[in-house]
Amino acid sequence: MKRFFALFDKTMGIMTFSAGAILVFIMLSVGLEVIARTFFDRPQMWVTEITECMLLYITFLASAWLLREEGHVKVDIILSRLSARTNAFLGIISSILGVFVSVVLTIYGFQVVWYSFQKHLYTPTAMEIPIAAIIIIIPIGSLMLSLQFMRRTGKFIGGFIIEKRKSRP
Amino acid sequence: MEWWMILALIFVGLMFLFIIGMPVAFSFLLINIIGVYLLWGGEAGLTQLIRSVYRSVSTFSLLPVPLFILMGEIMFRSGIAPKMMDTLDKWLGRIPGRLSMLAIGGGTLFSTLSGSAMAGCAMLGSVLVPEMEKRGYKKQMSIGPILGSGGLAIMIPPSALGVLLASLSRISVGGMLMAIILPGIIMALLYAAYIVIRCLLQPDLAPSYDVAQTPLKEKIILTCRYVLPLGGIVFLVIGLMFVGVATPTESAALGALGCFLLVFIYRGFDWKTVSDSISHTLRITVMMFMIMTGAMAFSQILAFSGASSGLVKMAGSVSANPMVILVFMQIILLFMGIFMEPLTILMVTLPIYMPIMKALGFDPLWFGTIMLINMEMATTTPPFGLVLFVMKGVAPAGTTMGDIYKAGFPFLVCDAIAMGLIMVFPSLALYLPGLMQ
Repeated sequence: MKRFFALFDKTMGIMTFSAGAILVFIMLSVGLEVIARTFFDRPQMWVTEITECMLLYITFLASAWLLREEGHVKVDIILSRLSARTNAFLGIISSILGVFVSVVLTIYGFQVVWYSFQKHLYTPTAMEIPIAAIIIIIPIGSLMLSLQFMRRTGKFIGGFIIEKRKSRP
Repeated sequence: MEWWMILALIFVGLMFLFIIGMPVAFSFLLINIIGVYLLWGGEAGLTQLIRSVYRSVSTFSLLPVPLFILMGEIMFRSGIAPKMMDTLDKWLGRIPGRLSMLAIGGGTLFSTLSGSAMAGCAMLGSVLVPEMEKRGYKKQMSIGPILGSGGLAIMIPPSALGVLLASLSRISVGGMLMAIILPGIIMALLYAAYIVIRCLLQPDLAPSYDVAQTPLKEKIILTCRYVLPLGGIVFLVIGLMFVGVATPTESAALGALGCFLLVFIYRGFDWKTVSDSISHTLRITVMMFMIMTGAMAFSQILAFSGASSGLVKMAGSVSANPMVILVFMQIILLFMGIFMEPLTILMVTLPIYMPIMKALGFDPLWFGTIMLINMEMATTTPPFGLVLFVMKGVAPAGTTMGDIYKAGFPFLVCDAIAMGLIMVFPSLALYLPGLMQ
């Protein structure tokens, strides 16, 4: 299990690095496109389309990493006033619900990818990008999210057991 | 089932998930999954949900968001901002609440380079608070102005939240960014007026001190070196958009490139600064965009269930003046700002507010500006405003959250006054978008 999660963390690291690289690519390509269009009269049609799709990639490439860092915003108005044990218990519930959400996105994401691939669906734009190639990042990112939510569930279960032991006389 | 029952179920479900600490993004997605399964025909609805996730995020109008955040991060981490503050400091003479005024001036200037209120507050706090402490400033005059002017990042372009609001409401991003400029400046002026008046009445809040004279030549050289080049960035972001040469996304990309270039020229460019800036930009962007993944499906569920049209009809049947309804809507937002962060509030309320606003005949840019001021207030409203916690991190040791709440309150009142002014004089928001080419 330890080995599996070491590999998982490594994959997550590569995905997050790719998201950062995409961010820099967006900045450079959009900026240079304006310069190419304004000063050299050479508009680059692909920039808008590709960068739009890249936003989806950034989001799902780095989402599992952000979950590991507990960076997804939550409303902690009640949590901050509850005991560590109750917090751990609620953490278990929210993580299980998170597993459910990400598993649904993974399964139906792959279904949509497969359907778009089989039907040869393309974006109705000049570049005609295969929709499957864009959407594929949703199930991949969601799969990573499901695994991270599972790990989070385990972490909270561990915390809950420790707190329960502490409260025993 | 009646629309209001579905609406109540959606909101109760959402609130329950928020309360148990489910991350906001996944709360929306879970409600969407249940909603589409029940309302859109089971599994077919779930495949539609995947497509709506794709369409919610893959949109050109959202592209300025990561670029605006990146601009603020690189400027914040490269160490240029303190030099800019130092230059401004040399120009200020012996005025009441000198360092507090510097916070307002520096905050306004930094707002033109940063789209994040937290970065602004952290920068001003780390640069000014130690000096304010040394000069015997009371907390009302040290923490308060920083809280107020840090929040200006939301109101003066580049504003990431402004782009998100425009994108969620399907109004012009460029128009929105132009509409918030004057209100942002009015807010800065109100803060400055408050500081001067308060310091004249209670000089002990911000004791005056002798300021070392700087020769005019040195002041001009420093200004040319550290302040004027920033004007170039402002031109790239606001100017190009205003004259119609670039779209908001292109302005944002050029602004971010300009910031990198500036940092390179100032020799603040190193691998750690760049990687930290990108990493923090990713954190904020992914957090925001993951919430946005649920945006389209959530508003479609509300529309499909009849809740949106039901609420519009209800608002239309109320015999009260539309302005009363507007004020009531803003009070609800203010209340929500106590518990939630701005993007969550926008996600919950915009699908309902925008149809009502259209039915009442309000200008969407004007309405968006008022809402954005409200969101700026939400970041500094006790007890859970995000900026308040950033402030706690940079405040002097021994500062309690109570001190921070108290110090921030007068600036919240200034925000409310600004909001009132925009409500009464819509041209304050609509004048600049009207001039856009």
